[in-house]
Order: sequence, then C-alpha cells, then structure tokens
Amino acid sequence: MTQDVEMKEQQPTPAPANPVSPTSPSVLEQLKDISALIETGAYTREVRRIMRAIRWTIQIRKKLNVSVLSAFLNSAFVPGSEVHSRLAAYIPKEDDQDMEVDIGTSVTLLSKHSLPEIEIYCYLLVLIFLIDQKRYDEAKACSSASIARIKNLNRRTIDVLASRLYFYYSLSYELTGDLAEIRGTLLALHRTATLRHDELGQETLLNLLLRNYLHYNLYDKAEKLRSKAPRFEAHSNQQFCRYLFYLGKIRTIQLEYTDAKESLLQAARKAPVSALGFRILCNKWAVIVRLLLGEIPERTVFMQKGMEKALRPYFELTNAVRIGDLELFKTVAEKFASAFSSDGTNNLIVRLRHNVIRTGLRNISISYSKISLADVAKKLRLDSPNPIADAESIVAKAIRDGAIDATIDHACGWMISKETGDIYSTNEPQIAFNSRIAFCLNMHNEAVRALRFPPNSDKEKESAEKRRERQQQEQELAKHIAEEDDDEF
Amino acid sequence: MSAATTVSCAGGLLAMLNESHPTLKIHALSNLNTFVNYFWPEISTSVPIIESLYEDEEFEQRHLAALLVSKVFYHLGELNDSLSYALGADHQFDVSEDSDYVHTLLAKAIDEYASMKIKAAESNYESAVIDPRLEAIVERMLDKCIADGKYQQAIGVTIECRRLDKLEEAVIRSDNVHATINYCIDVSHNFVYRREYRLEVLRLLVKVYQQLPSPDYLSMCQRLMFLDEPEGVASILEKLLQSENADDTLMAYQIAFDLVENEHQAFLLKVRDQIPSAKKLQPSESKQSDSAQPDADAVTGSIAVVPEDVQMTDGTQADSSAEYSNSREAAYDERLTKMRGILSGETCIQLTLQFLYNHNKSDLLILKTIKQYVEMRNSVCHSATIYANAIMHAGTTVDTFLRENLDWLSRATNWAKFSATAGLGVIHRGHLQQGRSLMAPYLPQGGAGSGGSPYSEGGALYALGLIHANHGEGIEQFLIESLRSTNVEVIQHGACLGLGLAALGTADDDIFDEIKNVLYTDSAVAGEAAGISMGLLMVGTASEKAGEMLAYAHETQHEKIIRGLALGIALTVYGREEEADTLIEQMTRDQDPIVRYGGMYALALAYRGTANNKAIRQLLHFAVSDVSDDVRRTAVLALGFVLYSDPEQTPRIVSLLSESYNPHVRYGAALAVGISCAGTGLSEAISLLEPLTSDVVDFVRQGALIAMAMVMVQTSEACDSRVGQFRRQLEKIILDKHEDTMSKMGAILASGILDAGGRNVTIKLLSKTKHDKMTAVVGLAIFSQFWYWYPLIYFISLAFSPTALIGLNNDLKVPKFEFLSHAKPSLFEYPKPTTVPTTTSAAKLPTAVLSTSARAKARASKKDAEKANAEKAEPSSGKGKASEKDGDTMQIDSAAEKKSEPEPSYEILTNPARVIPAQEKFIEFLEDSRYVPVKSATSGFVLLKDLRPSEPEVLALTDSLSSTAPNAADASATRQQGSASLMAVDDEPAPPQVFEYTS
Repeated sequence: MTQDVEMKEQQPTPAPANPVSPTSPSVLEQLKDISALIETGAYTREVRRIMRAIRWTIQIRKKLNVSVLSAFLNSAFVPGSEVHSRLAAYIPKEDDQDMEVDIGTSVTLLSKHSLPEIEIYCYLLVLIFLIDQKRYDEAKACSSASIARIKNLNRRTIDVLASRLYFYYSLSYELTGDLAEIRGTLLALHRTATLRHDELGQETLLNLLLRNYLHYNLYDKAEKLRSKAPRFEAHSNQQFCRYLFYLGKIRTIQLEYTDAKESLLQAARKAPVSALGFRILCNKWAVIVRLLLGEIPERTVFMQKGMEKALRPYFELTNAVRIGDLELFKTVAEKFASAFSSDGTNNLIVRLRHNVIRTGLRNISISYSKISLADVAKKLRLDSPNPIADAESIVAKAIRDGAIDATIDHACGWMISKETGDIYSTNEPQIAFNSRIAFCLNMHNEAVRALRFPPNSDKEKESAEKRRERQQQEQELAKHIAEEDDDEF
Repeated sequence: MSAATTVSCAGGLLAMLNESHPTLKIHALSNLNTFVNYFWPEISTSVPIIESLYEDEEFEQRHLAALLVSKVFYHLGELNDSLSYALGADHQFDVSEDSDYVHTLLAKAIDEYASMKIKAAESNYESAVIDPRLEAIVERMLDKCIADGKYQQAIGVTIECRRLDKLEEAVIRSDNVHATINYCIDVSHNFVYRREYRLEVLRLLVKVYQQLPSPDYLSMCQRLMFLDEPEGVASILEKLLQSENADDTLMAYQIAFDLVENEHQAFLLKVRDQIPSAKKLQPSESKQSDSAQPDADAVTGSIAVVPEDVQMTDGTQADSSAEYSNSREAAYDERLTKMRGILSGETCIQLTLQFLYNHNKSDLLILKTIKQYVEMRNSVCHSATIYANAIMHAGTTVDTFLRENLDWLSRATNWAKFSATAGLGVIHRGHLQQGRSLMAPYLPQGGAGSGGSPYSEGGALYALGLIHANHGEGIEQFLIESLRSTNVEVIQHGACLGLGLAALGTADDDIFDEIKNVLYTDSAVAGEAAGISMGLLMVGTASEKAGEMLAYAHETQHEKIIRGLALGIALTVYGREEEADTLIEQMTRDQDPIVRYGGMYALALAYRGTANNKAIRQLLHFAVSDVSDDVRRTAVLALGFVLYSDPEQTPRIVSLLSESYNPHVRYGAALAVGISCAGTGLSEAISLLEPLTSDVVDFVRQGALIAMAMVMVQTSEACDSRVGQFRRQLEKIILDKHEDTMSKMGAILASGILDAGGRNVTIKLLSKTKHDKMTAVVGLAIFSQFWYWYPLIYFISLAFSPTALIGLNNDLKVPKFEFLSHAKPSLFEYPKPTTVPTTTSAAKLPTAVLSTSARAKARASKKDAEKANAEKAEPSSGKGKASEKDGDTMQIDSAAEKKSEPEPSYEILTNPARVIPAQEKFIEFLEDSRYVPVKSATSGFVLLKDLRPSEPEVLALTDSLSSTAPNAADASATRQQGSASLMAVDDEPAPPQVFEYTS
C-alpha cells in the first residue's frame, strides 16, 4: 500500500511548457527559481504559481543532496537565524568543502526572506529529502515541527504547501509504523481546514485519515468519518483518485460491490498514467470486486502495460472463477497466498469461493436448458456428503439472488433455465450510451472551466485616421445616394 | 493524544449511555466530551441519545450533554444547531476557552445576534424573540473586549449589533475618547447602510461629546449638521461667542466656516435665526453692509478709493463701539454680527470672490484660438465657446473676452442669446452686492415689456439665480415678482431656473406655489424649468410634493415637462437613502421611459456618495436591461454619483460597461468616471477615458472629453504627463476642420472645464469633513442634463470650489503671513500660458502687431463691416492685452531661469494662496510664524490665532492689490468701460448697446 502512493507522488505531470530545459541549470539555481516563483505567488495571491513550484520541486527531487539543500537554506534565510538553525539541524552534516563552494556563490544572490511561504517550502524540501534518504526518525521530527508551525499560520497561499506537508507528515509516520499516533492531530487539522474553507487541505486530510483508519482495518470508523465529513467538489485529481480508492475499499468490505466497483474503476481510470503502482492496486481490487459481482474481467485488463506481472495471481484466480472450477481455485489461492495477504485481499478471496460455485452454476444454466441437480453437483465438483441437496440449495439461492434465471423442478430434481432475452430490445444500451455521453460532456465542460484567459488588454482601437476614412466613405456614399436621388428628378 | 491511542473506539462509551444508572451515563458523557475531537464521527450516530439526555430535566448533567451535542454538531458543520445547544449548555460553555470550537461559535453567536437585532429593528418588532442566553453571551464578549482594551473591536460589534448602550460604554471607557469617536464616525459613515440607524449612532456620539469636559466642537457641530439640529449648533456657537477667551471666538468662526463649506443653505439659515441677534440690530446691519460695500468695490477695481474706504469703515466701527458704554457687550454684538455674516455665507463668498479675482490666471489665448478656428456659422460651437468662456472665468468677474468680442457675440440669437446672457451670471457668481445692478441692463423692464429680447431677459434672470446660487435671500423677492409679471415662456423659463437656484433647498411654500402655477400653464419650455426648479427648491426634503409632481408628470403630454419633473422628483429625495425606496421603486417601474430615467437620478441622488451595494446593483441592472437607451445611459451615469466618495472604485466598476456595444452606455460610463473622479486626476480614470476620447461614435467622444477635463481639473503636467497630451488633443480637435460638431463642442467645453474659474477652482463633491456638498452634487446632476438642454451646462459652476488656503484673523481680515509647501513648485504650479503659434517673440511685440496678426487670421472669416466694429473696440482691448502679455512673458522667463538651477524641494506661499487638493498634504505652517491655525487644516478658510497681537498687522488684501497693480489696472481699465463698476457709471458705454442683437 505504500509504494503505490509513493509512485504516484513522483508523477512528473508532464507540463508542456516545461521550465526545465534539457541542459538544466544546477539544482540550486532551480531551487532559487522555485522560491522566486513561490514569492511572486504569495505576493500576487496566485495559488497556481505555488502549485507549479511544487510540481517543479518533485521533478528535481532525485537530484537533491545535502550540499545543495544547505546552500539553499543559507540563501533563503540569514544563516544563524532561528528558522535557519531549526531547519539546518535536520540536515545531516557532510563533506564541508563541497558546501563552502556553494555558499560562496549563493549568499550574494538572494536576500533574506521573511515570507512564511518560503519557510514552509523549506520544511517541505527538507522533509522530502529526509524521506528519500530513509532517515525516517528525523523526518518524523521535522514533519512534527513543521505541522506545529503551520498551525499558527492562517494564509490561503500556504494551503497548497500545507497539504503536501500533511501528506509527508503522514507518510513519515507510516514508514515508522506509528500512524495511530497522529490520528488526533490529523482530525484537528481537518477541523481547522474545514473552518478556514481550505478545501485542498480538507481533501488531503480526509484521505490521510481514511488511510490511517484503513491501515488498522477500522473500516467502520472510516466509513463513519467519510459519511459525516462535509463534502464538496473535488479540487485535486490525485486526492480525488485516492478518495475513490479508499471509498471502493470500504464499500467492498461492506459488501456494496456494485458501488465499490464503480469507485475502484473510476479511481483506476482517473489516476494519471505515470501512477502505475496506484493503478495496479486499483485494478487488483477492481478485479476481485468484479469477480465477487459475478462478472469476469476481460483479458485486456490483465495485459495492461507494466501490469502483467503484478496482476498474474489475479489472472489465474479469474481463470479459476471463470471456469467455475473449485479445485483450481483452491490451488491458485494457496499458490499465491503470500501475494494476496500482502495486498490485503485475503479475506476477499475467501468470499470468492462462493462466487466460483455460482459462476459455475451460471455456465451450466447457460449451456443447458434443463439439467438434473445431480449433474450440477458433479459439474461443480461438490464433494460433500449429500451433493444433490447441496446443489439444490445452491441453485435455489442463486435464483433468489438473481444470478441465474431459472426454476427448480423439485419433484424431478432438475433445474430448468429460462430463455435469455435479447438485451438490445431493452433500454439497457441506451442507458449505457447515455451515461457515456454524459461522462464525455462532463469532461469537456470541466476542461473548459479549467481554461484561463488573460485579461483583454490589447484591444484594437480605431485610430483617428481610420475613423476619418470610414466617415469619409460613409459621407461619399450618402452623397452618391443623394445625387442619385437628384438624378431621378 | 495518549487517550486516542489507548481508547481506539468510542463504542464502549456510547453503549454506557444506554445504561440506566446515572453515574455510568455521567462517566460516559464526561469521557466522550474529552475525546469528542477524535470520535465525533462515531458519536454523531448516537446524537439522538445524548439529545434525549439533555432534554431529560431530571438528569443532573444535562448541560454537559448539551455541550457534547453542540461539539458534535460543530464537527458536522451544523453551526446553527451547534450554537443552540451551546446556549443550552449554559455555564458549561466556556467563552474564555481558547479553542477553534469556542472561537467559531462566538463568531457565529455574534453574527446571529446582529442579524436578529437588525431584523427586529427593521420590522419594528421589539426584540422579544431574541434568546436572552444569546444576548448574555454577546454581552459577555463585549465586556471582555472593553476590559481588554480592544475598543475598536467592541465598537464594531456594538454598531453591528445595534447595541447603542454598549457603544456608549465602549466609547466612554476608551483611553482616547476623541480618537475613538472619530473611529466611530468613520465606521458609521462607511459601514452603516441604513440612514436612520446612522443618525441614531451620531446622535449618541453627540451626547457623548456633550458629556466630555473638553469637547471637540468642530466635529460635534458637523455631526449636529448631519442630524439637522440647528438649535444645538446655535447654542454651541453662542456659548463660544459669549466666552471672554479670544480663542473660543476663533473656534466659533472656524465652526461656522466649516459649516458653510457644506453648502446646506436651509440649515445655515436656521442656525443664523437661532443665534440671538445683536442688540442694536439695525445699526450693526447697516454697518455690515457698509463694510461690505468697499470690499466689493475693491473687487471691482478703483484702487484709489479702497484704502480710504476701509479706513473709513474702521473709523465708523470705532465710533459705534464707543457709543456702547459697556464695551464687552459691544464686542459680543460685533462678534454676533460677524457670525451672522459668516453663516449667511456672505463673508465666504466675498473672500472667495476676492481670491478668484486676484489670482485669476485664465488664458485668454486659448479662447481666442477657439474663437478663430470655430466656424462662425456653426451655432453649436459658437455657443459652446461662450459656455467655455463662462466656465473658465466662473466666479472671477473677468468678462474681458466678452467685451472684446461684442460683434462676434452678437451672432448669438434666440436661446444662444439666453445662454450668452446667463453666462454673465456664471462669471459674476457670488457677486452678491452688485449682481442685480450688473444684470440690470438685460433684466425685464418693469411691466411694459419694453424693447429687450425675451431671451436675454430670461437669461438675465437665470444669471441672477447663478450669481445668488444657494444664497438667494436678497434676490428671491425680485425673481418672484419677475416670474409673476410675465407670461412669456422664455422669461418664465429663466425665472424658474433662477428662483430654483437662489432658493435652493429652502422648501419655501410660497415660492413653490408660484412655480407650480407656471407648471400648470402646461407650456413645454416653462414647464421643464419649473419641474427642475421645484426639485431645486425641495432638494433633500422628501416632501410629499413629489407625489404631486409625479401625478402631473403622468398627466402632461410634453416630454420636456415630464423630464423636468422627473429630475425634480429625483432632487427631492436627495440623500434620503432607504427612505426614498418607495418612490424610486414607483419611478423605476413606470411605463414611461422618461420617468424611469428620473428614477435613475433618484437612485443616484438618494444614495449619493454612499457606495451602497443595493443601489449599485440596481443601477447595474438597469444599465444592461432597460429597453430605453436614455435610461441605460443615465443608469451608468448615476453610478458616478453613488460612488463619488470612493473614486478608486468607479473605473473598476464601469470598465466593462465602457466597452459596451451600446454607445449610450459608453457615454454614461465616461461621465460616471468624470463625475466620481472629478478633480482627482486619478490615473485609472484617465486610462479608462483615454480610449473613449477616440471612440467611433461622436457623442461618446464628447462625453469622454468632458469627463476627462473634469478628472484632470487642476492636475498639472508634472503630476501626470497625460494632461499635456490631453490639452494638445483638445487643440487638435478644435483646429481640425473635419472633426464633427459633437466632439468639437465637447473639446471646447472640456477646455473650459480644464481651466475653470481662472485655474483656481476644482470640482469637489465632498467637503473636507467628508460630507457631501449638496449644491455641488445637485449642480453636477443638472449639468449632466445638458444632453437635452445646453443652457443647463452652467450648473457645473455650482460644483466648483476654490482651491485656496485663506487664513483669517479674529477680525475676519486676511493677514499677510507665510507658510510652506513641502513639494517641488512645478508639481502644483499653474499650467504655462499658451503662446501664439508663431514664436515667443511675437508675443512680446507691441499691441498693434498683435492685433493685426489677429485680424489677419480673422480676415478669412470676417466680413469687412465687422472689421470696422472690431477696430472700434481695439484701443481698450489692446491696452489690456499688452500688459497681460508682458506679465506672461515674464513668467516664462522666470520659469526658464528655474530650469537652469536645480528646483527647490519646497515653496513658500503667502496667504491667501492657491493650494490644490493634491498639494494639501504638503502644506505646513512655519514654526516661528506669528499665526497659528485654530485647527489643523490645509485648505479652505482657516482661522488664525495671533501670537503677537501687539504688533501691527499687515493685511494681505490691500497688499495684494497694490502688488498686482498692473493687472488690476488693466482690469479696471476694461472695467471702467464695462458696465460692472458703479463708480464709472458716467463714462460707461451703455451695456445694452453692447449686447444689442441684430435679430
């Protein structure tokens, strides 16, 4: 569960107007550009600039090292100032001579900032660096300090930075396995974010809380929080994907498979292409939910690029369910037990057994218009003391659940399938078509709404000469008309 | 935190709530209350159980249950429910707790309370419905605020919540009562949208003032004026005057001057009548008029006589005071007389007139150029030039241009003649003593209706109104008689306008009836003026007469009358804000677009300068949705009036409208900016107007040019380089043969407004104390009517206010003293006089050459017969020209010298001096100066305390006259030929001859 989100973080959001050229300038220079970007964003209250700064940061994340970081800190703050010393304490000391070179070039460059945005950004940077370096304990300390600092700030321009910080805060605790500790803090932060109408923060924190609860399998509490927390239109696609994913999981556990499937598939679809891990996980869950619903996922689902290997166990599982072969199902479940347990899907696989039987039954009902219950038991390989009675009860239940459309002739001991109607004679296709159109239209509208237009500053103005020309023409025309009128007399 | 880890689920605690034993329940409740932040999602499912606990009267910890429910609702975002349970929690809800929960709920409580109070107040429901617990919480908060010294917070909340009792407490208990009161006043003006309530707040503040040991009388009187309580002001003034202390007297004078600045005639007259008149009223009155006479003479010129005259009056004063055995009483009487003089506005007007006359810097060459290049046959441009001249010389009494160009002037016929004559009224504005005699030649001669043209007679009556605008006591009777004695509609038109102007806002019933009679004759021309005039008379009274007017507007067939009445009705609701809503509603829903158009003006005037959101929204709605272009144009224009207290807003709000496809809307946007940003030189306003000055539609260009001139009035080129560009643009438009008449007229008017009042006035709609200047607003509103009726252009002169610092001693004389302007002189200097296009040396040439060159230019357009005429007028004008030119070239030289050396960063000004609004913040009084101002003001009339009373005073009045001798001589030379001076009656070429029209 960890790696997926991690990977998603790294999605570079391939911005077309990528500010980084192939021959990229030094990392330090880029960091300075970023901080300048944040600064202008803070002054002009343009959150979008700060968002861009964060995306940019994620791109250069891999290149961060101690010397660059400390040089940047030196340039951003007055060395020796309170903020500086607090932040510098988290950076491990390394090769001094390297550092000095950088300092020499940097100190002159940037003036000292007093902007809280920059301070928070530095916290974020250090935190990311520490996590990348696997110094989780320091990361924990650093993130706690930063959260304490954020609580005292109430600026809308910080919200974006803060929401990232919350994420890493939670991540650092998760990596050390102390997630439960921060639940109270997260709840409090969520409350504050709600009060301040910081919707991005609300989204992020709600997801973190859900994750927190799910980590300890507290599905009930998670659902209660989710249903009670104020809802609003999603702002960040990533957060929304995550939300859908958690929602799918909760619903799966609560046996609401249809809704769960919808959420999981939507999450998988909405997730950016680069967030491979997240999509794999979504697909795993989606496959199971679909199986639980009695559907058989298409082969292409398992053949998606980069997912073949990860989805292999699920492919085989599907195969077993598809055939409705209990034996095969059992062997597959045993074979990949470790993979399933690491995915946290074990308990769902147990639920699947029932579905294997039911799928088999459905196959039978499609193939035979009439079949004796003994044959059914045999085909399903029911190895119980009284297979016919078992088969009868299984068939009866399947009929009641609507999985198959059939009747049982108890007297003769056979099952009679009804004719399946032609689906194209119903409204079904239209409804499906309508929902797809609605989806497309919605997407288009959202895209239009997201467009930004520059203020129309350079509007064409008719110059005096042009106007004169036009008027002259008009007058001439009028004269002509008048003359023509005269001519008529 | 630790609890959260130890207890991972609230299920157990929730289950305990269902136990029967109260101890268990209480234990569960108190635990839940502690952990509610962590478990609220779970608890929220059990809220009904906890609610029932609260409702159980037996249960001893029911308050705790309420608190818990409140907290859960708070987490759920249901603040209303949360608040009501928090109130139920009673003492358990700790106001002083420092948590988000408490802060949020307190804010919510105050909001709730305020909205309830407002609702209660507005529906006249007594506050019975308000929860006493809510009130208690709010009061607790307020007490805490006051105790912590956060007075501004407390004041804001009390005003919002309509708790005047608490407001009083907060104000009185604050450390700096004066500052707090000023803060209160600001708040009440800016944020209290209901007028009635604002009045209540102000009344309270006055009460607080009265309790103070050393009240700020200036501020207090301003408030009283706003409340329309003349008695209070009168008693304060009387008290101050009775005091022995000279400072108090000065203060009283200063208060009076400040009140006069707000131009509220009806109020001032009431105050004056309340003040006890001097014991021997008769003699002192005559003395007053005596002493006024020479002053006026001084203006009109004869220098030789003036000093003597002044001494003479001094002598008589000394004599009369000697007559009183009790000198104290005499002094008191004298002070009272002076006070009455100030309150009647005469003192101000006289001083202003002197200032404008002495400092007149109008540039005749501009007019000359206009005159030369404007086609003679184009009557629109011809009369526009006359308008421009009148505006340029508004209040300066300099009518040289007219006198020099009599034959040219004589081309004005009919209504053009009307406005030409009325123009004299603008030029002589405030010339109260001699106004009547000045206009005498043109006034209708007793009864017989002799040879005079009705147009000039009507114009003359209008002119009298303009001269006496807002101070019409002396002239009303005459105007009424003229109105009665005529049945020529043109004369009635002039008389109605004149009467309306003179009796502005007095709500005199007799005059009203008189005008109503004219209205009921149902003559279009007279009726229009009557409608406007009725409005002027009843301005701001919201009297029920408006209903009468509206009824007649529906009855009559004449559009002109409807329009006049619609505007008149709008004027009656001036400044009444929500009181006017019914009438506005009625008008804006009318079928007749002209009445709707009046409704727009009613909105504009009722909500003038309030920036009221509701009014703005309504206007914007009409601006885009009405079917009539006139209504849309007016709706946009009206935004200018609503927003003039906040000029920075206007360009932003109308920027979209200024790009409308509809030229009427664009025109409205231009004028809205012009009105609200008048005289500010605001950069955004100029940027918005700039593209409009080259719009595709001619009348939009006209509006934009005029608006631009209004914005740029008195802005020097050093402040904004676009001023120079604009001047050149105007010149280009005027000189361009192909330009159409509309924009040409706009350009001519714009050049007049740009140099209005001899370059010594600006357009100001707010007085220094941030009150609206009623006359100015009304003037601009009627001015904007020139779209339909050009003679109404003259109403703009009501909006002009002199930009001067005039220091007065306790004798109300102008002593000579110096003060400092901490800015580069070039920033605020007069614009450089234009030069004759050829070379500067041409300007230095003697008269003969100048006149020939002028003639040469004129030759193209003038006929020979006229040339002979011009030659006749030559000698007098030539002389004047020569001296003036000399002065001009001298100035140019000195300017050139300055450029070579670095410009000083300050400037020393001598009382009375031109101080333009932008300059005010740089003004500083010298530290070792003999005079100290009574209040810290940097413009207008300032009373000065004399620190060295023993030394002889040098009066600036006489001094300035001798120093500007050549100028004055020139003026007197022309004047002696003109009709103005009474002294020179003998050798005056009779003015009627001057304006003898051929038609």
